[in-house]
Amino acid sequence: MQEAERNRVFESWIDEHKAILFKVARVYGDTHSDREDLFQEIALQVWHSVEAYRGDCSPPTWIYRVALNTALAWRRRERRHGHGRQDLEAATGLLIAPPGRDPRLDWIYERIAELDEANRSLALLMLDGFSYREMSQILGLGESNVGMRINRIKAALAAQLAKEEHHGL
Amino acid sequence: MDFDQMLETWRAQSTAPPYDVNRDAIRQALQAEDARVRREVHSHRRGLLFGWIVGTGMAVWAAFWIAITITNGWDPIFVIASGVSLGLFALAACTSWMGRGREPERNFGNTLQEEVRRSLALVDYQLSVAARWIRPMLGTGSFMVGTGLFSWTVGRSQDIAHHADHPESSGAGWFWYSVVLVVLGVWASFKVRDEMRKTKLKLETRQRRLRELLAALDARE
Repeated sequence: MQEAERNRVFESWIDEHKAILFKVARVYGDTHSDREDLFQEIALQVWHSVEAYRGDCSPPTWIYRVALNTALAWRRRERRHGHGRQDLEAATGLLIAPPGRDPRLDWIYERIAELDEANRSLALLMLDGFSYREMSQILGLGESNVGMRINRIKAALAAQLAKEEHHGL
Repeated sequence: MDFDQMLETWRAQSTAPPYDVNRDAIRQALQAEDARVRREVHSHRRGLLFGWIVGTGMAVWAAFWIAITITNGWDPIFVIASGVSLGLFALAACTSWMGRGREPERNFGNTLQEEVRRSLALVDYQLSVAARWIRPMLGTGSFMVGTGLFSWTVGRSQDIAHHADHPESSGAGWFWYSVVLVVLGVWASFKVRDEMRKTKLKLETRQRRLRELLAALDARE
């Protein structure tokens, strides 16, 4: 694949599916600088993966797979070597946050962050409307296992929603 | 907020993302990555090209002198020396070929585990190359000794062909040539071994991480 063609495909993927990268970076990165670092890492891996994309799944499915793989590997690396890193050193100015954000969205992200690493991936895919079959293809889990886990995640989220509603969210 | 409203809030991100991307920063990161990849590819290609040029040159040179040896009916000692040096060249070629590592598996599926397995296969391949440091060193050593022996054969046979009166005059030259050859060989060997050890350590850490990741993914089943 020509360099220009690869860059063109990458640019179009970023334009259309950048939300996937934000979501994964937001779910797996604890601080803003972590998210910037992870976003950049995912973007680079997506750029590398353009050549390997054969079109046997949709681009969002492919991007999710690359992004989740990168995020899980990044988490393990950071856990061992990222301690004590200064936020200022890591800040790259890659993500520009708008002034006003829906607080309900922050609440959802906080609930997802309470799940274990593997279930975070499932929660992301579930919220984005992927079918059990697609989730099992992306994550390499059996469909019945996916269904069982999704039911648990949904129940946990519903319980949290009920609790928050009770306290007047 | 009920479950449907939660989904609605979540999916609104796709139409109005919570962040925007600094295009200049991402372009810079990509350019840096691109430059890094290009440097690696160029360095690999330069190495290959150099190997081919030197290899082809040596083959032509050897063929030329073998033809001369055969047509002139030289002294058996030179024929033996030529044979040994050619054997050493063959050994150098063999060890280089054997030190190239096993080809990484390329056919993987689309799942996350398969993606990790693909990365692991690449690391295994790089490790298989880095772990065989003795072979490229043996190859380099054979090549250098073979070159020295071949040059000596050619030089001495020329002396005899031209009825040189003072063959011992070239003795000091050959002695220093051999010293330089050995020093260079030892220095290059240690340099290569050090580099390969460093690479191996890095790769082993990455391999361990990927295996842990794969085990964690498999454990979810």
